[in-house]
Amino acid sequence: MNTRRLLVVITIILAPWLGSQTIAQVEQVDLGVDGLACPFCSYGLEKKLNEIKGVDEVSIYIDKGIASIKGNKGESIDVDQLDPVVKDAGFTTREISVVAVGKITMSEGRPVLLANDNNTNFILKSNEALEKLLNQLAGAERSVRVVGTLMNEMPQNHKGHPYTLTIREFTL
Amino acid sequence: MKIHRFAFTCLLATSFLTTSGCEPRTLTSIEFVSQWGTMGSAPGELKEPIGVALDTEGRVYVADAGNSRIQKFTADGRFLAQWGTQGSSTGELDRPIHLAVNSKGLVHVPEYGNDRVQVFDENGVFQFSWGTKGKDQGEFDAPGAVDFDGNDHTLVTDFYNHRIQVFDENGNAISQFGTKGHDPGQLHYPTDVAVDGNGNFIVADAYNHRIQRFDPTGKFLQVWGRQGKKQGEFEVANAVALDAAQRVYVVDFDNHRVQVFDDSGKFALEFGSKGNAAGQFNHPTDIAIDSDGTIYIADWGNNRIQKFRIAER
Repeated sequence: MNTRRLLVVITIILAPWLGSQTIAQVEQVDLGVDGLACPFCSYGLEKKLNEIKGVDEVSIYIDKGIASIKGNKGESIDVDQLDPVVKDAGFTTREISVVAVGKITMSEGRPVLLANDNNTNFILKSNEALEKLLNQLAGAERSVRVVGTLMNEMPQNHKGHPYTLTIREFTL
Repeated sequence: MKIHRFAFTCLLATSFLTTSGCEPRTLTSIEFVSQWGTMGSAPGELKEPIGVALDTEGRVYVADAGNSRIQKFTADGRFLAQWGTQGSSTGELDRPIHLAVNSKGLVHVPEYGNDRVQVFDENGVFQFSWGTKGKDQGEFDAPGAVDFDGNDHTLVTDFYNHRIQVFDENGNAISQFGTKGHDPGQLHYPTDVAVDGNGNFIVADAYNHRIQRFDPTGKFLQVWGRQGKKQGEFEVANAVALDAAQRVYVVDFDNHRVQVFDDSGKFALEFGSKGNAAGQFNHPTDIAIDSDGTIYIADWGNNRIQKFRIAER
């Protein structure tokens, strides 16, 4: 589906829902991690990820090198803890994919997803057409569901600063 | 499975008797005998079998990590019993990653996920447990393996705390040794420990890709191995056991093989290669050796147990 068409579809779907609200949260995180072949390591990573606030279930896909994390219902996975935990488990994060639900707002001219209640917001990166839609949504008070990729490397002392999320999928 | 008592008896015998039957014999080969296990969760099936141990009757216990249970088999792989389900309550298991049976027949199971050691009788009836998450003595951060010294003290590798802890047979902390590092005597994610015929501790220093030997007080004695694929090198040395002749068998995880060394650390032979045919391995994780020279390997990636025999002359 090309971008213009996607924009039209999303706008049509959006219309009836303007004005409604939901609780924002990070529902799922898929971590791309190298070196998961060793069970002592992968079970260890599983154990450490399970200790993160908001995590309900961790599944390790050894063959794909992915740790998939699902959040507790109604609770947000604390994204700030991911990178320290991965490092503590002896790994380096390759890629972080996030499924987040929240409201769009504008900050310094950029669309931002208010993703949870602990100030872990996401600056949304997308193509020009989708950004126009995001600008429209900014005032709509409508919850959106975004699947995107976080920047490859978490910055140090990230707390309180927004992450950048490159949108791969976007639903209302 | 550690056979230090037998070995110790042998050592004593050879000190006084030249015709004791314990004279040094030359290891000629390791011969494949049989295998069992297919991927699944039904009784007798296995999902990520990561630990293997033997009792004094030669029965085989398997830490079936992917199924959160312990299974018990005869020496030829016939299913006998199972226990454990996923959880953190008494008798439940969260990533049982290893196991060992002490002289009283009690099955000790370290749990990665629950940071404790649970003890069961041979039928899987819960007896007692110890350990909580932490860094202090008596606490664990991913206990990885257990073994026993000649006094039935329990040795536990403490993976994320980079140390070995020693407990009495009731689980009371006695001592500990090891700090994180790469120097001789330091540890980097230890995954297994065995006790030799002199009561010294041999540690699989997994992510230093080497084997270290310590005396019972934790004093460093010996080290061998480094990262690599050649003989005497390892890609994650993650399990260790001794045979009756005090040879040291090291499971070389990412090289899909087992290497055998004499008690000085000199390479003797290797067996196994990557694959799923008889005698091949896909990321082996543990080894148990009986006093009659029978070897059991937890072939983790192939979801099976393989049985071998030591050939000597």
